[in-house]
Amino acid sequence: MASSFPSDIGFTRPTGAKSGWLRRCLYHGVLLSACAVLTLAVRNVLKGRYIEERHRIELAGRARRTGELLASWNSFPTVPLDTGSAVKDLLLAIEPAIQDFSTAEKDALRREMARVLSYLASPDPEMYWRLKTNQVTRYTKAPEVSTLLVGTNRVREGLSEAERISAYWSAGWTNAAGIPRISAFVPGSVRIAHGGDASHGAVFNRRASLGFTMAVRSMDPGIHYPVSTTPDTNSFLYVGLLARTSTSTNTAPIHFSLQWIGEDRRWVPHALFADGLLDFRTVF
Amino acid sequence: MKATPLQFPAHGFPVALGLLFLFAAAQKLLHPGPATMALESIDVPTGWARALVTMAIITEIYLGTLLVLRRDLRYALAASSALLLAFTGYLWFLTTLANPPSCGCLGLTGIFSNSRAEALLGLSRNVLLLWLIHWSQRRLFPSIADVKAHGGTDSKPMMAA
Repeated sequence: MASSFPSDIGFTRPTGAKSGWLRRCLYHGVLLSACAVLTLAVRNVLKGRYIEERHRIELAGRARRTGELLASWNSFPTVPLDTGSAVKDLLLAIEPAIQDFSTAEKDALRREMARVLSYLASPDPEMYWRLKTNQVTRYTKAPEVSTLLVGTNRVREGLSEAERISAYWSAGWTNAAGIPRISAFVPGSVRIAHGGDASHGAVFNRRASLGFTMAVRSMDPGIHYPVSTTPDTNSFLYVGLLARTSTSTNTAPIHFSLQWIGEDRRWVPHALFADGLLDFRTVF
Repeated sequence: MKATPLQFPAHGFPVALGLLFLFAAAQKLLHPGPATMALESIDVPTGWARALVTMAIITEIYLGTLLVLRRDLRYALAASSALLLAFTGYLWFLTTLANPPSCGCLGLTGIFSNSRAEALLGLSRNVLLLWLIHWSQRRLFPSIADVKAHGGTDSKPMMAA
């Protein structure tokens, strides 16, 4: 007569069902524990290897993601920035975002934005000096600026501030390619935001953000303006756009911010961050 | 009992499955990165992701050992089914994502440039394995109905042969 309960291979039917069951549990318990001990021991020994592997995977993932982003950005058509129509298009793009500004702010912004874009398209120290200090009554210079300038053999004592900035400027670029400039931008990519946060993170992390792979900050000779500790009293305009530069064949985001100086009714350059893929470092 | 052509594969399949589990466990022990980071990419905290991978390794070694040694086969095959069902559910979830991560299964990471194709392959593989387990269980541990269905001479179960 065939058994109604086929026995599993490896186990003979125990004489006592309970003791057999206990023996079986003990066997499985020991085996499971041995597997756990072995696994944990090996994982402990290979900890260093796991860290290296994780680092390798993260680097590969970052490189792949950068490639995907770059392919996406490079697919957009661009127009040269140094044309009047391009500047006009950019000014039109910021109009919806400044509806709540006062008339003085709007008028000043339209003027300054055109100057800032012209500067970025064709930088020179004189224009930079005018952008930063023209009709501005209060600004501070970081102490290290003077030290930096005095240290170069291009600087003599008795120079004016403008001459010092020019010397700083000249010391910044020694390559034959000349001063980096923004050569083109992607129409329709402009994003604008407004806020009171003076931190650098606010420049490329807010609503104007277009993302980035690595943010490279512009050079800062140290001309700064008073910032209130109360964010509500500060006024910054954050701008993000996809652009091309003279230093790279890629299209990638550039983020910059302008600060409102209420006393002087002027917008002044605050900070600029270019994506590392543009290899673009200017004075801002 | 007369040996059938399907008897030997049915006997050998548990061992093959056990070796597969042991291989998968070894791969995850040596290269846990893809499996761990796949879990992290679906918002599983890092500590939990590591613990889940560790548990998967322990379970695979445990079941692989049982299957290779052919100990308590009925239980081992049933537990293997449960484990594969869990893995299959996870792979199915990955295929529903817009950008699925590589699952890190069986060391096949990178065999496809598309992680979704990799997950679909894993899904198909697991479904096949589940069917083979079911087939093997029916051959190795036929039910009374199976025995009766085979009539007089084949009425004895394979295991008693």
